[in-house]
Amino acid sequence: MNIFQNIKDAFFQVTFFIMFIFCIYSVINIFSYYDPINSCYIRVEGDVVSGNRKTVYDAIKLIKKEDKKTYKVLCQNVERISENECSTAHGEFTEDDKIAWEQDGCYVRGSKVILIKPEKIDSESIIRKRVETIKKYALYSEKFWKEN
Amino acid sequence: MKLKTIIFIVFLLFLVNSIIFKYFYYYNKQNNCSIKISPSFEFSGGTIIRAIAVLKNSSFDDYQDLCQNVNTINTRIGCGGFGGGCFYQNSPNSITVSASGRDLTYAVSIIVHETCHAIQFSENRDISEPECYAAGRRILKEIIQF
Repeated sequence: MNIFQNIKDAFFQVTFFIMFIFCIYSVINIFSYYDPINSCYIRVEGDVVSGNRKTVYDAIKLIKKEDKKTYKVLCQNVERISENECSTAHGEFTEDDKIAWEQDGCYVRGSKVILIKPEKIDSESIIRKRVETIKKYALYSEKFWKEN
Repeated sequence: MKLKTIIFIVFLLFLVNSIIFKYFYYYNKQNNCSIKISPSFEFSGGTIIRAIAVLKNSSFDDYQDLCQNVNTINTRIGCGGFGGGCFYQNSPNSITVSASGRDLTYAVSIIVHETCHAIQFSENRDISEPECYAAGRRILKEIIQF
C-alpha cells in the first residue's frame, strides 16, 4: 500500500515540476526567444504601437530552419533584438539622419544589440526581410567581437 | 546555524548583489570607474548600465571622460524632459539622463552630451550647447552601424 502511495506522490511531484518548468518556459517566451537545446536566448523587445514581436520570433525560427551556421552566430553574438528606429539624430534632424531613419535595422557597436525597424504587418515578405536584416547584423556583431 | 538558513542567506546576498550591479551601480575596477545610478519611475537603470558598457567597448575616450567627470547618473526626467538629459552646475559630478527601457542609443548619446557639459564645467568654460550636441551626434555615428 505504501509503495503505491509513494509512486502516486512521486507522480504528482514530477507532474508539478514539469508544469512549473513549462510555466517558466512560457513566461520567458513572452519576452524572449529561448531555445534551450541550442543554448540560445535572445531578448526580443517589441514596439507595442507600431511593431510586431511575432514576426521577429518567426524570422529567428526561419533562420534556425534554413541557415544553421548563421543561427549559431546569432545565438552567440546577439543578446537583444529591439524594434526601434536607428536614429543618428541628436538635436537637429539632417538629411543624413533621414537616410539612417529609413534603414531596415542596424547594429549597435560595442553591444550585442540589433535594432530593427518597427513593422506592424505580419506577412511572409516582412518575415523574409527581417530574416535578412537579423542575419546581416548578427554577422556585424560577430565581426565586432572578433576584432575587439 | 542550519544549512538551509546559510544557503538562503547566500542566495539572498547573491540576488541583492545581482540587482544592484544590474540596475543601480556601475563598477569597473580595471578602469577605476564607479558610477551610481539613482532610480526613478522610468526603471531605466539597466539601459544606462548597458549604455556605459557600449561606451567602454566602442569609444574608450568617451568612457574615460565619463568615469573621470561623473559619479552619479540620475535617471529621472530633468530639465531636458522625457528622453532628454540635464546638467546642473550646483551638482557638477552628476548628470540626469531620461531614457526609457528600449532607447539604448539615445541613452548613449545623452550620456556623452551631458558628460561634455561636466567637462566644460570642470575646465571653467562656459556651458555651451553646440559642442555637446556635436559630441552626441558623433557618438551616434560611431556606434550605429548599417
